[in-house]
Amino acid sequence: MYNILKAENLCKSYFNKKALQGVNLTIQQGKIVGLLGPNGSGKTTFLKIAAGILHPSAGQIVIDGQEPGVYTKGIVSYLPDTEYFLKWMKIKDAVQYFKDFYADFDEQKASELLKFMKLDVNSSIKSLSKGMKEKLKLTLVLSRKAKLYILDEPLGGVDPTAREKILDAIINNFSETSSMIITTHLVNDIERIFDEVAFINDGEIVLQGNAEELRQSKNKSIDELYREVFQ
Amino acid sequence: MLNLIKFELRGRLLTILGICFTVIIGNLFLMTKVGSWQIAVPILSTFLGVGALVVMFISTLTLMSDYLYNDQGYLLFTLPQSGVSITASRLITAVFEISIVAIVSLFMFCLLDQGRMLNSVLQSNEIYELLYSILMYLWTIVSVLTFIYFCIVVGRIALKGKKIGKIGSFIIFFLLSIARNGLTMIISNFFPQMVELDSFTTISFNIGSTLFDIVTFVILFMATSYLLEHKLDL
Repeated sequence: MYNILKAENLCKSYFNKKALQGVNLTIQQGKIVGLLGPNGSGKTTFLKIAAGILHPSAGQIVIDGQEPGVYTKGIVSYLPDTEYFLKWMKIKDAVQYFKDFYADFDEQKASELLKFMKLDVNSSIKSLSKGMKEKLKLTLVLSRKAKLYILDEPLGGVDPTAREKILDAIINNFSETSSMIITTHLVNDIERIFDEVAFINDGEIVLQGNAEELRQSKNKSIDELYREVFQ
Repeated sequence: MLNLIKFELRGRLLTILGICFTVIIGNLFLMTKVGSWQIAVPILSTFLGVGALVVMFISTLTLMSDYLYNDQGYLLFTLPQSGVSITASRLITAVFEISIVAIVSLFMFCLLDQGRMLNSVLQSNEIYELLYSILMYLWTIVSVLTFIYFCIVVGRIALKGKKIGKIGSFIIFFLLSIARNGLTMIISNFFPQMVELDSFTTISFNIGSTLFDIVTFVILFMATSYLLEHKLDL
């Protein structure tokens, strides 16, 4: 099967701190991969490198055969864990922004998702709650027909009802021709959608494999396995 | 790139309108004092215009620094846009914003002055001289901003922290300015040849230092674009 992302011996250092220490990870087309680990384990660093906004100190990462850059930014749909909207924007401005810059943006899909998330296009973004902003970010990111979706803590700071809604949106809008990598601390809520999981600690992958095979071989859920690995 | 300019201008609309509004109100107030304050009126109007331009110019520096130091950077630098596109869009937006304030300030001054200064400038200058002035105005803004943007980007990349990065950028700006001015003087001394255009009696420039300025601009523009695309870590 085709590998949309391939990282080999990927390293990233900040001064004397090593955030990534030789990460090897492959994501196949059509798969949803969970990148799981505690705070400071290197999850966000890895995703930022894949999104092209951080540069590795050593090693290599390729997406659709190319190093992160202008091309990969056009095929990667990245959901960061920050509130990145411009202060003056209304929801309709943010939709227009994505429409203008991303050739793969599907306006129809965005309208459906906004309706599903109960977001009003005329609302000012700064008036939205944290959960609503999270829903808006996810709406925009999932409205692209990207080859790779990178979701950093998509359930962060949202209530359980909203979590369900977000998970439904992810599942309903995922296509077999694309791939997805998700980081989260809420493993129990999201593990059902993972095809593969990779556990990362201190910048190294400590365990990875097919989610179902891991469940069967260890006789534990991914959430229980997570607690065991990082206890 | 046009989309980058469009969204940048949309976001800064209130700042531009605010500055223009202040210039207009200030000049309208001065118009009520034309008889009593005499010579002070055009001087104050000039100060008002220059002040507005300085404020607008400083404001355009945030076109680069905001995206480098705040979370909005995630929105800009994840776009499938090249470093050249991003740098060029900042410069074009800045020129546009400063020009709007300049035009409003000049227009208000002309109203205040009842067009006397404008008539005098038009009568005493050839059209080519006016075009040359406009060209120099554009060149000055673009070259100075490119120089400053380069220092901001180098400071951000070399020194990661917000405070230290900004202080570092200022120090880099200070040192590079000294180096550049020194080189310009050396080049002017080595190559004293001047160009004096026949049709412009008042226009002349040193060939060596002009070429040096153009080369410096191209290098700084390309370096800034390269750093934004290949070296910036958010």
